[in-house]
Amino acid sequence: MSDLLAEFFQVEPLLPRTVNNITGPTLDGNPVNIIIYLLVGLFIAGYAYYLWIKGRLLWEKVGRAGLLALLLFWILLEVRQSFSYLTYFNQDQDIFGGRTLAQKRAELPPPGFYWFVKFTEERVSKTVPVAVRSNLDQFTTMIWNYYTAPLNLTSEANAELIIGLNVPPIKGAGEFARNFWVAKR
Amino acid sequence: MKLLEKLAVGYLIGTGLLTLQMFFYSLFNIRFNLWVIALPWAVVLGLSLSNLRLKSRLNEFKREFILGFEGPWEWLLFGAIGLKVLYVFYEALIKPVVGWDALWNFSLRAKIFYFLGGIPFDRANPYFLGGGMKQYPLHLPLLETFTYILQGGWNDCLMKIIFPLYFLSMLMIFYCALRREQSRLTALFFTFLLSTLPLLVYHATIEYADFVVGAYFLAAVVYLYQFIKTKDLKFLLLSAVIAALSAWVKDEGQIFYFICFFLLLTAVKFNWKYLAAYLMPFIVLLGPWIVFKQIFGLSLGNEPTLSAAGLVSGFTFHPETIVKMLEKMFLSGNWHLLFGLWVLVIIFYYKKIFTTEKKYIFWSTALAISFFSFLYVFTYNWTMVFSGIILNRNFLTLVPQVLLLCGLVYKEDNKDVGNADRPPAGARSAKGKKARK
Repeated sequence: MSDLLAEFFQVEPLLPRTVNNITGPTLDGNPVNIIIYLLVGLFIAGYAYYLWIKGRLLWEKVGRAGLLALLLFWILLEVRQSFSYLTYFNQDQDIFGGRTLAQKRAELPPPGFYWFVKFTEERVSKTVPVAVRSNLDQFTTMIWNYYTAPLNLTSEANAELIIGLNVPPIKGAGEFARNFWVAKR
Repeated sequence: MKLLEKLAVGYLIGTGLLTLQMFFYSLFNIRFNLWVIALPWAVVLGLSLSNLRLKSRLNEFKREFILGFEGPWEWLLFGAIGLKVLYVFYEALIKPVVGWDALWNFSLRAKIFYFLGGIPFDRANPYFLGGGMKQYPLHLPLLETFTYILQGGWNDCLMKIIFPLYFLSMLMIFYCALRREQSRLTALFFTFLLSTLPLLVYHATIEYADFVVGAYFLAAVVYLYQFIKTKDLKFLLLSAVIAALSAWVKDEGQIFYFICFFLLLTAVKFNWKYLAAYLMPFIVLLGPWIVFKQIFGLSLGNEPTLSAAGLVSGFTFHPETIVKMLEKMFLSGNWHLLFGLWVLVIIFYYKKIFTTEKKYIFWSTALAISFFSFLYVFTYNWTMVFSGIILNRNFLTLVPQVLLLCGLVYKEDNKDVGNADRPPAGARSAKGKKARK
């Protein structure tokens, strides 16, 4: 029983995929909504049968009772969700509370990557035509692009500088960090 | 309309017109600058100040929300909604941009527009239209840019205030729509339910466009419904402007606009005056953007090669998607029990829905679901439902209407029903006397 309760109240971590789906509570691995719909269905059928026996069957009355039952379960689900919000609040307060903007950015995944971005940004002028070679994964490249934009991007043939991200340095490249170099054409 | 509702609608329309203004400025090569952008609005604000009647508006607000509360339940619900709103503001403002689509599209473009002082229209520029998804409408990136201009710097934590404000506006429009027909307690209760939907709450704290377009669609449907009920042209125009602006937020908005147009068509039966009035804002507000996209060869939606002919030739049938969609709606999409409630309401209150104007709210949702079902059951997009990338996000655009319908038919209290849009008692009696004569 305590296992089931723990499963029901389990907090779903906020991940990149959360944007597409929040799975919601489960019991024994199955969505808890299955049980709720089953209970509400039984309640509606039972209540309708009771009113019918009494000779007072009113469709709207049954409907309202069914809706009330469903709404009570809804509130229960919201109480459970509120625990998650409290957890997120505490987590975010620990991670971001009282930090500077740069420190907050550095806390985002991949952790600390923002300091690397700052390191590269300080070494590349926004006005000089540059080309970028990157072997970073898609997400990390995206973050690098976001934080360094707008650069004066161009093709390698027209670039004055070539920036290498996580790729082996080319001849003549000045290495500034393990995962970054800048070469002058 | 009450002050609360005017503020919410004002935010939706105001931000939409503001970003259109910025788009036109860029077309005419006028660099972004706070004074240049704010000047026309200062004039509008100055002209409307004389008509503001702030004191009476504030008194009206107090009567509705502070002095008017009866019993602990209304206070409790108001408090619960307030807490959720505060949570959404906190979560949005405490962290910088985190969303995948924001990092490579919406917020990236916003940053580029801000630092370049406008929208780059040169195709040779690697930041042509801000990079990212060039065919996406520019509302959200430009609105983010405006917040940077307002701040005088690039702070992507503060920028995110626009999303909780959309959330708040959505709740306010939803509440006022219910309040016109329901008691304060019922309206508060269903507004509370709307504020509990986990994915909606999460999206109100991040930088995506799905729930924003949902706020516009909700408002467009609410005022269309209000027009059909009252035949007040003001509501028709409001709905038309908001529906047109929804297409400026996301391409799905064009579908939502035509859903509203189709519902109007069925309601007014080819009354050309009303139909023309509804079409006009779309042509005026969205026409330039659509022409611009045609000139630059930009496609609709995500798919660069998307076309009507392509959709037909790529026609496939995937019935397994229907089961997956139902599973997400009812069980695992974490809409709490929203769709179960919807089904119960349709079964038990079908007369209240289908014999009244409420059927238009039902059909707005049903048609939107049909559109998404078509995309995922009959086209190559079906894989996206199984990979979990989409669908729940799509449904953010229509869940408020699902709950609105439930709230409108749930319980029709005769006491304390909102009367915001009724004429004053004196006017009513005069009208009645005239009719009797």
